[in-house]
Amino acid sequence: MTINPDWKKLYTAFDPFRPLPANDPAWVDCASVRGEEDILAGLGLEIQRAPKVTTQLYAGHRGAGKSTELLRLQDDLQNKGFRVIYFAADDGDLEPENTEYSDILLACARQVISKLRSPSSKDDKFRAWVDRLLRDLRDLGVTELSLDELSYETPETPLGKVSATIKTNVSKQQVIRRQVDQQSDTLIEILNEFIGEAMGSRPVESLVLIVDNLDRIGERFEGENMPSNYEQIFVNHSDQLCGLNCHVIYTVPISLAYSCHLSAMEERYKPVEVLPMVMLKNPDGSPCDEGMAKVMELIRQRFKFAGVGQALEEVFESPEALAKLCEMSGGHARNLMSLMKAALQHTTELPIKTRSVQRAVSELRETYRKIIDGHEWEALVRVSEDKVITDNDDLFRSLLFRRCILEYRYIDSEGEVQVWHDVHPLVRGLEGFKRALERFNSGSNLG
Amino acid sequence: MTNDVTIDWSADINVDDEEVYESLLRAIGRTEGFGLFFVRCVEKDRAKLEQRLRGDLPRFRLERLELKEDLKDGNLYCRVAEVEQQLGPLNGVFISGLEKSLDPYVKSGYGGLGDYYNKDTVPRILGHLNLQRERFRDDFPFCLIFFLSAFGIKYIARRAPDFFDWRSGLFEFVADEETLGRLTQELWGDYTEYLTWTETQRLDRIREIQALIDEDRQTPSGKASLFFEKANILLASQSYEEAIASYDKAIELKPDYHNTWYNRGIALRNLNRYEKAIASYDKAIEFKPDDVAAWNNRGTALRNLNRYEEAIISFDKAIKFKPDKHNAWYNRGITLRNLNRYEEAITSFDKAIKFKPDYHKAWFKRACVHALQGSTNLAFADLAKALRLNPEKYQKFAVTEPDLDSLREDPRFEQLLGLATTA
Repeated sequence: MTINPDWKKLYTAFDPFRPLPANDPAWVDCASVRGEEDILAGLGLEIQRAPKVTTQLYAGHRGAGKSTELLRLQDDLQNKGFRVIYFAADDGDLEPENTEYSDILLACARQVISKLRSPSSKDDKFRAWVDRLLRDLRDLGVTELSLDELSYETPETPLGKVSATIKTNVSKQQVIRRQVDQQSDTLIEILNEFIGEAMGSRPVESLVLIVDNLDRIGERFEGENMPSNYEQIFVNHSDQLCGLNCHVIYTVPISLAYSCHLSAMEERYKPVEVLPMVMLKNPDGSPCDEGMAKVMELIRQRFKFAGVGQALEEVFESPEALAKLCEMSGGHARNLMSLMKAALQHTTELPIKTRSVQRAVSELRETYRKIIDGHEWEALVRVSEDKVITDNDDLFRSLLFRRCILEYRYIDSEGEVQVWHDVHPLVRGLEGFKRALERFNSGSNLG
Repeated sequence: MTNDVTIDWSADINVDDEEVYESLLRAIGRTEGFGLFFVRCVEKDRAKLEQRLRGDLPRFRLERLELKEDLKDGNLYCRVAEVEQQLGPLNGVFISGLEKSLDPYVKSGYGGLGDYYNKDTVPRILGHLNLQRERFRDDFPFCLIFFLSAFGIKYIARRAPDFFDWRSGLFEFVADEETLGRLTQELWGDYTEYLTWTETQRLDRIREIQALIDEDRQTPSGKASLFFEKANILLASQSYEEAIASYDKAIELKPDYHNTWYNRGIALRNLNRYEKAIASYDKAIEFKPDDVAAWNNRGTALRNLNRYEEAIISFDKAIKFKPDKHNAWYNRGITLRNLNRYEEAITSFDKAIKFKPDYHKAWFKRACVHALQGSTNLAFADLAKALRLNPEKYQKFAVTEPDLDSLREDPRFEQLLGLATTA
């Protein structure tokens, strides 16, 4: 039987670049196969219950669904009476080659000001801050930011100009940043005062700032044994990051959750909340039926959205093809979308042929081949055997960052959260991995 | 049905170019609004592919954005916005030349130094793409179709993972061995020509070479020849360290090509690493015992280490295989002079001059040795000849060269130099 769907609609349904808006019917509750990680119960409840403002870090693999979850949290908190400012930092905020703390502070300040400012707001203090910054900068030889040229229409304009100059003027970049850094405590004070005034009679504890996309900052090391830029930002500036007088959530790269400075961070922030993958297998390798059902549900919902009325089983030529497509995603939302999209591209008419799924799997595997280096296979084999990673090992952190190692969680019989890791299922099919596994099994390597 | 056959899901599926094309066509045709497509194919096939897509999607307005040089600000977003502004609503843009913006970051890596995919800095353009992806999605309701080399795809997958992650599809047209062999040969060039190139020409060529090196079906010997070419270009650019790294790669793949060892020796010599250079020349000689240039350069390297006797043996070898190798005779003469074996030195210079009568260096050096021997007449005759052949150079040298001290009291000296000035 052939079915002729609205291809454009079906194709759009699997776009890998649209986080689902809150309350979207295509959203599937996967908490039970994500170690009961529920953003509303985790980050959300903490915000509701904490007596004072909190600063929380939210980590997860890229494309795991963080933004989707954050949009849900925003909606939920708004329904509960919170005021939520969500913003996704982009290249207007962050200098793409080397982001530093001052970039984040300026971006947050601009967002807070533009979202909370009212015609009656007093800007004097922001003006005074910017005036002082520019004066000091001029004394340091930075003449690119002139007092006369800056418009004070609203305070975010000059702050934006400072951000822009940091990005465009490479030679003066560090001087400007140092100066912003030095004056950051005062800026935070002024912001806090501003927040207090803007909130009026409402307590500052009812304001939530969500800073998304900070996980896109690439990790950089200035030199051997030097802290990376992550540590510079999230550890060395933790006082400032925690200094805003409202609840703040920052997304961070998953590799940061495994930094040696994690413990140092937990004194300042709450424990990093991690959004793990959907579990499709148990640590012992046996299939996790519940996880598979959830992932199939994700696909089913999107077919429904596209107006395809058939049962999912009819859309695929064989049940095996559907099951393998799910399995090969590793429980990763965006991988799942990519595999589906590719399988559809290879399909002229439904049902999707098994070979089309094989092609999609083969092609996605190929992208993993492109990002793994020769010396990494043994570490991958080790993870596939032990199901754990070594904390604070740059190699594992980098493999996590690249999604070659995935993180899973479940609740054990004692009610404790168990964290485990595995290599991406596609990695297992790569020649380099197979060879390293053979070496491991013959005991000739990995001392 | 495939049900009763067990499928090996870890096996790769072989697809031909036609199937890849069909998928690409369906993918673009079914996209509504924004879409990100990465198409890998060798450069020369791009135009054909574009044309075919235009033909098969007659109702789609597909434009082209060719990046001719490295985007200094790294801002691709603005370039795409300009295209849309100038041309109005469209369905897709073919973008090529993105790799040019990676050059400044990967130049050293091109030579094989370190791993250029894992450098700590993110090329500016890729940093922007990572952070701008929402703006691309929200502002461009059309397909962005990136044409990239195998190298470019790999680089972006690693260094712009956030942007790459949003792709609607990756389509790889993998060139076959025969095509690759042809394309590889087209890139074999000539060192003396590389010397006349601009730095941009060299980088462009290195990028083309890199693209072919990273092709899946490239043969080891093809790859070795490309590393060799790349190294020669880097040598012409005086990027010696990078050149050596690239020669090393070529040697790894094909250890018995004498020219690779020889050129590697030149690069080492240019860094004054004579011991290593000699070892490299030795390898060249191992694979081509009559490599005259290697023997000759081995000799000069030994001379630079003051190992004169050994140097002379090397020059003798060069001369044995090529009796009219004038510069080997000349070098031999210099070395003998350093050993104060004047008679033999003169015999050597005689040979050099015999085979290359306008060889002014040899005339000048023979003048020096004659002067040292006290044969003033002969010395003046040779000096006069050298001055005639290259007055500018030897007017200076004649005044400063200590070997000629004995001539300077002689009135003929002033006369000769005066003549040269007026000449």
